[in-house]
Amino acid sequence: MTEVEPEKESKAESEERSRPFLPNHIMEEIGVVFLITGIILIAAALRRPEPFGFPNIFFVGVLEMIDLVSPLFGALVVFAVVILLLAMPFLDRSEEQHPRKRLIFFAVILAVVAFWTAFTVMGFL
Amino acid sequence: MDKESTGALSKALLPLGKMFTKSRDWIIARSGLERFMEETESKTVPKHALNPAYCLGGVTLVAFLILALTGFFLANYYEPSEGGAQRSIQIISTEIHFGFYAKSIHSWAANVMVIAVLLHVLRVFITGSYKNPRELTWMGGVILLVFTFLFVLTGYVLPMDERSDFAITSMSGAFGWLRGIPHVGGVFNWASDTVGEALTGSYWMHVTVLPIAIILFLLVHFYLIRKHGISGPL
Ligand code: HEM
Repeated sequence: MTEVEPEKESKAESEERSRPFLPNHIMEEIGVVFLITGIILIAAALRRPEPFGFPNIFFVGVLEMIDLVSPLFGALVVFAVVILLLAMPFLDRSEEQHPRKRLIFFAVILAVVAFWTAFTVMGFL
Repeated sequence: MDKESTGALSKALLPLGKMFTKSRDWIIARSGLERFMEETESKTVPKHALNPAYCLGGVTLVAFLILALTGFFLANYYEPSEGGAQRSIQIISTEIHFGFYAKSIHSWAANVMVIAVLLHVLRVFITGSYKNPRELTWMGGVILLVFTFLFVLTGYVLPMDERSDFAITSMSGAFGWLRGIPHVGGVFNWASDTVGEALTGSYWMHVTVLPIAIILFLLVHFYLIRKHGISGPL
């Protein structure tokens, strides 16, 4: 592991990798803000009061767990996912950042997502 | 513009500019913001953070601010009662100036926020940005996600239409049993299967508890992001 020692890094080098927050960066961010606001306003102005007509897709899966298994099961899965997410930094303890070096961890999360997706699909059937 | 007219213009504007600088310095001096301004002026942003995937938290924030603004507007006209909900929404959509747009923008922005926050979580997950030292940023984020979903569910109850039934069924099915907790179960009235109770509880959550809670957690989120900076590139 080689760490960059701040004092050895020349000013030019650090300028290459980063740039000042003021004024350009903040101006661009404000630009993005206006772009998004614009999109939402125009979408609404096209007189479509709601973007989607169906119940929010993220809850269909939970409702199906409640229907198919039991209310308690639905609640337990929700709590389990929240706890799993909260515990994530302590479960995945390696210092690796790149997805390719965290394959097992990705597999576990994919399994959880697949489980949820399966119930969502069943909810629509 | 030739030199002379620019000169005239800037001369005319000079007092205004001086007034602006003076008032700005006055505010900074009186409020003790010097340190904050100095820090902000010397702050830099890493280039990789300009990638759109790193802007999703910002998009979520903008969507939230739009929701807050349009929500303030709507709350002035909405009536949280079984008979009043549909009637007041009808009035908002047809009689109140800008009411239709406020309601429509509110529901569009809600969808933008949910999609943006999920993509934000995906980005943070893929880049492994929840690791040391950003564990608390992540954990506070998970709570923000829970708040966001509760906003959506309780929001669905308010119009008292078909989707309200769906929201009430989901919430009472999964969390209705929490109301049985002795003494404090009433806090979970939003998860009641009685329409009136679910409406009052949802309204209470949607316009008082959740806004305060999410703002507190957002402040912590932003404080931590500023403290640790954005995580390194892959
Ligand atoms: C309610 C909405 C949220 C807002 C407004 C928000 C906003 C932000 C912003 C503006 C950033 C700066 C970098 C970026 O934009 O990507 C950020 C970073 C971060 N957020 Fe969020 N966030 C929210 C929810 C979440 C959630 C649900 C999680 C996790 C489950 C999370 C975890 C993090 C982490 C770990 C970072 C640091 C990332 C890094 O340093 O690379 N946030 N957030």
